[in-house]
Amino acid sequence: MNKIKFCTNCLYSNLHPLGLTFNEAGVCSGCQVHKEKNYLNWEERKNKLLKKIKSYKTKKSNNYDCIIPVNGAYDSYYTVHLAKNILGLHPLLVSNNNYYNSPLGIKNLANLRIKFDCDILFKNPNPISVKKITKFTLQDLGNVYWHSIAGQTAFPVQTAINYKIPLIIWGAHQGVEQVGMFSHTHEVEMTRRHRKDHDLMGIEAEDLINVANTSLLNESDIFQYIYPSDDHINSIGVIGIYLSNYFRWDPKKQHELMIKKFDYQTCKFNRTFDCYDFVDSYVYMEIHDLLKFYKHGYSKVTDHVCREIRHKRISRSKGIDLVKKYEHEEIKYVDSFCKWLGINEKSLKYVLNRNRNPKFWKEYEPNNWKYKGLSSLIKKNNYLRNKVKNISYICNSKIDLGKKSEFITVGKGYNN
Amino acid sequence: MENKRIIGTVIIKENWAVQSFGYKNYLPIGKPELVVENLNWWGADEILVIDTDSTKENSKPNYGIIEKIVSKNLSTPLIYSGGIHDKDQAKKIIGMGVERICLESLLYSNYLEVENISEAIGSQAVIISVPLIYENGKILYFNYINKKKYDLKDHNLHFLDGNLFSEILIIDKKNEGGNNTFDMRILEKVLFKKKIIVFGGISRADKINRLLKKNKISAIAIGNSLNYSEISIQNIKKKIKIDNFRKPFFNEYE
Repeated sequence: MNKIKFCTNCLYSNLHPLGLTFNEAGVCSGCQVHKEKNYLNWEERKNKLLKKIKSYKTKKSNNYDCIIPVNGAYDSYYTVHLAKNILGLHPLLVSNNNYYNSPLGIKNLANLRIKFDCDILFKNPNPISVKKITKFTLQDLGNVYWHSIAGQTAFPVQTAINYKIPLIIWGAHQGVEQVGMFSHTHEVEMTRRHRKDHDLMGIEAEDLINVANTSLLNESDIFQYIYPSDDHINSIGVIGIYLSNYFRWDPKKQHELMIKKFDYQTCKFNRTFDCYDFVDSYVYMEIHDLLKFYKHGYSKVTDHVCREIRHKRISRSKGIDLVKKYEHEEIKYVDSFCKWLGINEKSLKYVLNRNRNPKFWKEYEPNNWKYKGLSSLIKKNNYLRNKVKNISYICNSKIDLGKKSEFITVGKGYNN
Repeated sequence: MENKRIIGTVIIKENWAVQSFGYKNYLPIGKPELVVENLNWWGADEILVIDTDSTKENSKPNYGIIEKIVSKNLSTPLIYSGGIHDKDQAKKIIGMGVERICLESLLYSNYLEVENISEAIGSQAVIISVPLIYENGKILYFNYINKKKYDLKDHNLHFLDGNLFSEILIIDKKNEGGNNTFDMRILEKVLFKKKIIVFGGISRADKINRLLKKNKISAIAIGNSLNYSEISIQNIKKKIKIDNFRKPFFNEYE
């Protein structure tokens, strides 16, 4: 194993699964690129974007200017807000059903359609195929989100081609936000390579049937996740832009603006202090987050802490305390997940444990594990100790809206 | 007439494909084998892989990365650069499925071994890399090992016109990684007889066209900017206005 090196500013290490580089002062690429947010002229960048999208604005009323992928959480509200209210675009919203829907997510999505007065196109992939894929990716890749990410990254591009709408608008580029993969000024666009490399862990839909037992999966299970060909992309001229390259991206502030202006609803989680990001899912901050912790030695709370350190809302030292407080918390909704997937909890536990990376976990006796992962190795320093304010999050709802916690597998709306 | 080429370039640092800015600052891009696979998919005419860690003194070629890359069943010819010190290493790399190797420091540290390598794998499989900097009206040669700059006029580069290799890769060291910052003045006083590949801050079609129109230039190597947008190689190729050039193609699924 490479010698573990931590950023002197945030809590990320050189073992970050997206890759991370460091400058001579030991500051990671994510923190270096984040600093651009403080000196770039964002008004100028917004105007640059307005110029760039001008040719995509249709003069006819019978088509849309752009496609925006959305769900009932994350940066969907803010992305639609910027596209519609600031950039003046007429978007078609698209949403891929991942079958992990929480009532709160469905409610947020229904509210989004109404508040922003937009048309929305849903894709509900064959649930039998989704379960077959999820069984395979859980067992062989230690991942229960492959189908979700594959769907949410392929469906907008498929729609762009089918509806002949070349412009796709995304919110943040995670590679830029987390590890500084590109400078904001590179104005990086959506690519097949980034999707395969980072979103899909190197496994494309076509690869899935080659690596999976062929009796388990076949072409009819995976075709809906196939990214369109270069030929199709070229014929329509599809491009996908990220608004975070043109607007100063600060998810906490953005969510709070969306709560105030558009009644975005939020909830508490067991495993992080952030109440805003993944309120649409019963799985993301639960089983998915635990798998991340087992495989990579850190969990989503570290991502949230790094983001808040960079925005100077918490100190590095306080961040370490928060990580240690949250990352070992129990997961919830295991029974709902097992019921949906058709497996028993004992089998799930076995598969989850099998994904514990020996770099970070030691089984000192059967079924008893000692964590030797990243937060057990990181040391506190004085960075930002005296420069930060107190952090607080608005929690204005519950993930299950106070009802029985079951996955909403087909979300056409929620009357509440 | 031979076709002129667009070479997709992948810089590797600590086993990650990175964006390089003057070989000094780096940003992570992803897994080298997947970046290379994508360049192959897009129809690059050749792919150059430079492992920056292997260029350090006493290091070896990164066989692990080479193995991962060639396992992708590429149809695009591959060039590898980094850590090659002797003919056995060169033969091993060619044996793994790499078409050509690129040498730099060995040229100055052990010229006789360059001769041995060229004899062992053939001069057509050897490229020589020459990092240059244009500064105060002078063209300087940059040595990566000792980090010193030498006036090209005073530096003995006569052997670059020998028969031990097929092409010379000229790198604009100062502008490498920049947005279309390649300094054309570097080429003004470079009078090599060999065909030249140019690299370092070349991204836009206008400059690529200007460079490819020069007789001496056989290929343009492009790095960082190919990762900024979808089908970027094909989109560059659409704008190339010379005849001896492989036209863009767009993959379709069967």
